[in-house]
Amino acid sequence: MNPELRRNLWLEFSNHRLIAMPVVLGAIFLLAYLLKGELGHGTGKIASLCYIVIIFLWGTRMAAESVLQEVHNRTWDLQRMSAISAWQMAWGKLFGATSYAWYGALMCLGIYVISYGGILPFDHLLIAVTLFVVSGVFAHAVCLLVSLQTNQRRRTLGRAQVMSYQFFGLICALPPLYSGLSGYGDYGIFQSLTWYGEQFPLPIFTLFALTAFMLWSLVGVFALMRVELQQKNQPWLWLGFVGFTMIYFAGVYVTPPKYAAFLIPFLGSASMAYIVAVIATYIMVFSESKDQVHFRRLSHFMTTRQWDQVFSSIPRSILTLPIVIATGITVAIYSEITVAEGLIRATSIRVVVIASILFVIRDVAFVYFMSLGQDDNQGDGRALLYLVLLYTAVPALLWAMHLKPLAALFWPQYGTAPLLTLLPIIIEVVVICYLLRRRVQAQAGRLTSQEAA
Amino acid sequence: MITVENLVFEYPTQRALHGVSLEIERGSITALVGPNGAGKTTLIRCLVALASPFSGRVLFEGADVHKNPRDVHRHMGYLSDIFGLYEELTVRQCLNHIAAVQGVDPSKWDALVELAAENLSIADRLDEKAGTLSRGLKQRFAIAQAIIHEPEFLVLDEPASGLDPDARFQLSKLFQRLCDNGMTILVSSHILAELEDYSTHMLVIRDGRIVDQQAIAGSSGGAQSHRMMVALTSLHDAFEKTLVSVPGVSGVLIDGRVARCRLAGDEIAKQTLLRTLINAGLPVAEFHEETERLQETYMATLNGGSTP
Repeated sequence: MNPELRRNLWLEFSNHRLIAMPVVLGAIFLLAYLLKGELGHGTGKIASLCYIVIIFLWGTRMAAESVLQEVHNRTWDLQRMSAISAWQMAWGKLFGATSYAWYGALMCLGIYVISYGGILPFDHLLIAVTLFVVSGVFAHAVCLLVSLQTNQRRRTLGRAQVMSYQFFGLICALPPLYSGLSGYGDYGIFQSLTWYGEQFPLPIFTLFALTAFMLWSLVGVFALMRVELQQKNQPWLWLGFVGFTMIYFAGVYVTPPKYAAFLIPFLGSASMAYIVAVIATYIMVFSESKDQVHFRRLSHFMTTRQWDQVFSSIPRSILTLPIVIATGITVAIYSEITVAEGLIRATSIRVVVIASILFVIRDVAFVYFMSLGQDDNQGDGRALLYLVLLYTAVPALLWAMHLKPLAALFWPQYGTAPLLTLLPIIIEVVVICYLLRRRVQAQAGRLTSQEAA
Repeated sequence: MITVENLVFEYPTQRALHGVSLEIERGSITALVGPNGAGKTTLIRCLVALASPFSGRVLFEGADVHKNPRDVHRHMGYLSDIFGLYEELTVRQCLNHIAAVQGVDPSKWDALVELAAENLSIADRLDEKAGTLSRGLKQRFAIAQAIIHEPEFLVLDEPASGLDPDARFQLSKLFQRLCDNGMTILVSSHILAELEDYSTHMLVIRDGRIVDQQAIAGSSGGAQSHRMMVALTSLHDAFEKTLVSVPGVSGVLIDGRVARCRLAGDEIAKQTLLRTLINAGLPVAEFHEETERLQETYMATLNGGSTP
């Protein structure tokens, strides 16, 4: 048996807790049964509600806290010094820390199946139950993933922090769960979804998509656990995930009928993929560790030509930029050759896309510039605040002051001359990259002078 | 057994280890000493692969610990200066868990748990919850966790803090026993008097640099350097000259009719030294090995001097 799973089972299942869960749930289900007088919709809905509360509100907290509690209680180093593999540790924590929640959740699913057994066809019931389970595992894995990612930057444990991790788990898992279950409508009439032009029943599509993302979340937990256990990762997993997500969401895009005559589907899909790559870059630049030592070490690897170390140490956000650039350029090219003359000004679209690539590069450099400023772990927050101001308040102010041409400094402008759109952001990129380089050099110099002293 | 090559560790605003190189012999008990902030804990965390250095290598039996930390960890035991316990689990469950995560064959768990508990005198507490133990018992229990899987290399950061004198004495005996069984031990502590009871080597670190690494004379761990004292009945002109002429003698300090020196070698070397002195016609009144005070050696090292 996985030792980490067993340790969690020892902790979670005292005699009292073993009895408490069935007693409490039994009382709730009995009440629901007595009120309705039968096993059916009433008890089924109560069972699904209890499942959601136990797995998504309680279980997500257990998952988010599983490693943080160990760090807080100073037992984590003991685990890190063990010989257990990262995968064993990952799934031992994921299912061990949440084992008590699953204990209750399985009872809820049992009542759900009994309640809907005579109402829903077997295959529908099977899909519904699988959706419940997969979305639960997905939510827990996302919470553990986010907590591990944050833990590698800041080893603290707070209630608000844990709630924020739960929030990520909930927004990842609850919408698809709802979408999949709502596909049943009047029991048996499937809603459908178009993916790459093909129609799929919504619940089945949701189940497959959710399973795929759940597997990716498990891969992510495994990769981050490796980092916790002092093992290095090559960036292939991250790049693979970005590629998968781009392909997935590109397929979801459907060309609006009124543009169908003018746009080839590829442009819409490529645009979707581009947006996904941009979002992935922003998520990573704000979530990954940006400590100065990491950069100095990266620089050391580069000067000593240790390319495998360079590849494994290079920030994932920076590694995603070539994908952003390549996809953006593809969109820019296709926007010119596929947009019908007169409907949309193709040149403008192309310029806007290229400008948006430059804005992404500027923002990534800006976040690093801010993060490498003071050693207080608050650089990300400051960068986020300034970026929000740059994208919202400042352009709004310029509009209000009738200084619209200056807005090109803060937003990719549509419909203006290419030079006016591109020149400001090119200057910004050059300036911020120059400042970033100076900051990195200054820090290296400060350490060298300390060394000499 | 452990080889450290040019180890550099950096924090964001300062360098904590400056190209540290050292070797730790198999079967030795090395006392890692140094002032607060010298880099002891950072060095220890690099040695056990809990922290990644900026550059340099740590080799355990030739294997780079930072390349394969999981493979190396099963051969290492570590107790941090500030540690936590699974307070809701019993002592037995905790020890079983550590044995399991260290990959010990399940058929050996019970015997190893009993042995570790016996060694740390907590056999009667195995079924108590860890959280209910007193501070001293928790410390002993934590050491038991570090040795349950019988590691080849044991690293302990302030292991005796919170222990009463009797427990410290028992701990000292345990370390010597583990060492006799082939375990290599590195102990960091501020209590030098306690370290000198069992240490065979001393490693002094200051400002992130190894200032000195030497075998401690008179230790029971097979150290091959002795601090000798020779007293004559009266002053003699050839005293220093004769001492210096003996192979293995160094650091001769003469104060009147009393001389102190360092002698490299085993018991035969002592015999040779005594015979040489007598054959040279020196009126030897006293001849014995002095137990070296770790405190003196440490202070002398930090002050840039040396003791004979």
